[in-house]
Amino acid sequence: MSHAYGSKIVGVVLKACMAASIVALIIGLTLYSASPAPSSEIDVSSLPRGLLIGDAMAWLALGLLMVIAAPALRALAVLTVFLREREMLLAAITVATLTLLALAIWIGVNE
Amino acid sequence: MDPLTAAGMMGVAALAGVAGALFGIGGGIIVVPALSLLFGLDMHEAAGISLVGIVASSTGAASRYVGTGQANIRLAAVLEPLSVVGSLAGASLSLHAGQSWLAAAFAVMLAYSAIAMLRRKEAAIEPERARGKLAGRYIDGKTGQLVEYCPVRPARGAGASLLAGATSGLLGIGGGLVLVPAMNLWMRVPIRAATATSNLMIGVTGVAGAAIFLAAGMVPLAEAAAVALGAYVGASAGPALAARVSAENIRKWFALLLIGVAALMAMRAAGVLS
Repeated sequence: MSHAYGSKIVGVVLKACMAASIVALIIGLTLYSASPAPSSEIDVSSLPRGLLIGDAMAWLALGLLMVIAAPALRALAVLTVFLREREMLLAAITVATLTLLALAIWIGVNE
Repeated sequence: MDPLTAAGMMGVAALAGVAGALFGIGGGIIVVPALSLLFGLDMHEAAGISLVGIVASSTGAASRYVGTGQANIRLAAVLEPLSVVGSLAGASLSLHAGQSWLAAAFAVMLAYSAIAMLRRKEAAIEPERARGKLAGRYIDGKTGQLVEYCPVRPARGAGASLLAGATSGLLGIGGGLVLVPAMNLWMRVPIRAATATSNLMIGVTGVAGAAIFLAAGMVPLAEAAAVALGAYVGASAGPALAARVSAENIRKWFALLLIGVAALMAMRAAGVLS
């Protein structure tokens, strides 16, 4: 399998994440311009209901969560490519990156 | 936030996205001062929004660069874990370390990298040596020539990656300013591949910070959305602009950027800037 295959998969994942977040952010900003109510809070548990009732903040939160999910999903895609290519050392390094990333987020959120 | 402010923030973020894509730096160096000085946001809010913008910029630019082969996903995979470790260590150390000494040391390091980039020509790699697991190849957009390379001195590159993460955590400066010169000068990665690979990597380093700021409720959502959209637009356009500029000029501009940031860091060390 060539390096080009891995690059193609990673490119598709990044473009899909970007497109999905752009849609959510545009919907959110459009709803926000109709009834501005500034907020900095993200309540994940009430996100599905907020999206259904057309809450601007829920759509903005979804879009922003998709923005920050993109690099992690990209790393997952890279991991699947390395596993498929039987590049075990690179796969192990990528698992280490994902683990460290999860640890960094956990430490930061619980500090 | 009124529509005019939203448009202004998108414009600033688009500009930062173009610069980020061109130089592999994320663009936080433009977004943070602009949000605080032009739009009157609190520094913490500006930093949180900027991190979201850096992640968006990384995704936008990298989605283009991986398609052209300029972003080396294997090299990024090898360097990324140390950069995350560095940012964790840097963030912890920042609570205890003297910021002015750190800023002074960083200024010297950036100035040294800038001078080295201006004085030394990019080292050419013979095609027969461009083999190995981390090797890369791409077509130079400006010259139309096939460029093949294989990074050398991986241990030094790993050290630079650790340092890039640490400076990011310690001083709030994007790791690309350390990573790009290290890849280019030490690892002999061509400047286009170095900036593209840095673009791929800074997303991962930025995610932890962005998630922490979002979870803490320190990021105004509408403003962050405007910045993310602007960053996507700029970073998606940046690679096309980069293809029109010669690699030699990208290198020169990057060196000038390093000198500018070194001057800012020196002022910070001297207490002129906070």
